Amino acid sequence: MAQQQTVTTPALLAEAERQVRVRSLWGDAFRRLIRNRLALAGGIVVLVFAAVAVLAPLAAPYDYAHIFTGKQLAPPSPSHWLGVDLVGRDTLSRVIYGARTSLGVGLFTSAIVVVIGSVVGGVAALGGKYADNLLMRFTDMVYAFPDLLFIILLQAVLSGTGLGNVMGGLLVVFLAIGMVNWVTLARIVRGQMLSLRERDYVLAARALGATRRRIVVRHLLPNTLSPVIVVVTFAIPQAIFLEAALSFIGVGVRPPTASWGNMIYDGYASILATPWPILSPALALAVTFLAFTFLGDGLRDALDPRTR
Amino acid sequence: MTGYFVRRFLWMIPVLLFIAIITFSLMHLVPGGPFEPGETKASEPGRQALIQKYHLNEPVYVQFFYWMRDVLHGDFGPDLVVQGTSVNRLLKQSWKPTIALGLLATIYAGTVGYLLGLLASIKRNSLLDYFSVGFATVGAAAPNFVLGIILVVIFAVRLRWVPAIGWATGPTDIRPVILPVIALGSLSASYIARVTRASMLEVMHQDYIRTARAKGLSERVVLMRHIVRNGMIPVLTLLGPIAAALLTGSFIIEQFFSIPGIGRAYVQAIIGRDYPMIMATTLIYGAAISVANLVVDATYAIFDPRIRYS
Repeated sequence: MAQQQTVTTPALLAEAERQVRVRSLWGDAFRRLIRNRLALAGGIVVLVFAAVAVLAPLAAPYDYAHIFTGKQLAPPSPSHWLGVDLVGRDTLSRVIYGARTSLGVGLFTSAIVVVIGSVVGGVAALGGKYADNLLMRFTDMVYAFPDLLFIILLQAVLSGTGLGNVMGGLLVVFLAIGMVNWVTLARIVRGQMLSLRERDYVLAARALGATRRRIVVRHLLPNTLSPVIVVVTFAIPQAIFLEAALSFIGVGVRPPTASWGNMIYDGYASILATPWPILSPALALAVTFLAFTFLGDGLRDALDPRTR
Repeated sequence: MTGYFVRRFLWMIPVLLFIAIITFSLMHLVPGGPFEPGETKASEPGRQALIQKYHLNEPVYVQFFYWMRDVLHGDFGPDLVVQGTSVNRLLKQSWKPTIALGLLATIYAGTVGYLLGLLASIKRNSLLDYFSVGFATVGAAAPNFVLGIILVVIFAVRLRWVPAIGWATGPTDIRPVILPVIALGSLSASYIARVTRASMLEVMHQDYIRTARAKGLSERVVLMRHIVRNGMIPVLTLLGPIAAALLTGSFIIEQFFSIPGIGRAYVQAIIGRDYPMIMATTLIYGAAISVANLVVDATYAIFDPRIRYS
């Protein structure tokens, strides 16, 4: 018996060690994520969307602004798979370039949201009582602001400045959405940091003589990462939707730059003649939105199994 | 707890002031104004007189105090784009469609969502259940104006059952109302369906349901009196926030269907640089959202006695 144990223990230990190595936080989360079929499908669609957006010049059959005179409102055909719009531009090409606009909006506004949200939330959590009070009251006030109204207003204000013409009005869209949508993230980062600060391992680190800086960088920041990732996966489709909404009501991205929102706006004018110019961007928007939402749900479950 | 709600109510004052100040300053940062040459048909002396009349030549903070004084007297000022009308009058016309649309969408979301969720939970794993779960998943994620577009293409353009745009001319004119209400309310309906289904399924597995069956109650009584009633509580608490979201969130839908509501008025005001109108709509929305959030918290406290605010 004793002999048997000496034989198996090293093997068992090695096996256990291997398992521990494989089952790191991210590996574990990834495995849970791909086991979730909806999230996996969402993730694949998101990847396809990103690839199409990045490779738009290769993927699109024509230039997004090229006008085919005489072919206005043509129905789908082998040369124009999704038909031609009111102005005479190829709808498929514009949907593909519109993905590029949407991806840009999603990524840049999330970047702004993450920067402002983490800084405000982090400083509120760690910067002492006064900073906390001040920043959180400010956050409450921004939160009380009707957000779509505020975005439209900011958009109108910023468009009037020199920034309004950068990238066909896109820069202003990033700024307007980013400056309003950071509130949720700030609250989450603050809450997470406040609760992490009281954990035993932070106490242990402090007892071992870790500096404040080390505790923040090594313990607090990495542990706020997973809620931040989840918020960002939901912030991206939210921003994509807001850009489309802004462009649709006529204060967002201006033609000829292709955006699903301004395509819907243009397509609306010819809705009685042909539904293709309006349905194509609308469905692209819905599918992208759905994919990000499924991926976000899956990520939330995968990164924090307790929420299930 | 009353103290908590009184404090919450008083907190609205600085919030609304903050909204007013930010909006006012942002608005005046926008280059151009309603009376720039070329923006108005008035003659040069007339233009100067208008600028004088609306204090547009004063510093921004002075203009703010003039505006504040009038608002506290219940006067949102004249409308700068449509000459001869006041913002109050425009608002009086435009709140009705917004409220009607929001309420109808809430009713639609509540009944459809609830019935779908209920039937799905009773006939679990049936075709109906799958349909309801599918509706809840897709409906929860599709942006509302995309649904609006699809509905318009099918029912207004192809089938011609309803008009594509416009709003009811009278209380009996329901055809133009149907699509906007469905487009606005479906997201909430799918959410309610999901919550109802989960809540009913949870109640069905409670011990008191087994007890009710064990003491010989008919299946109908168990269902109606025990399951449906208890399963309804989480759904009722949801109705508050949903009504709030739908009443204040009809912006894009109003714009899409050309409904003459407050959301559309706001967008028109932004495009036309109509300062008093922008200020009025922003403040009204801000106040509505603040009050709605307060009511939502209050309903939580009423329906769930375990919640205590301090």
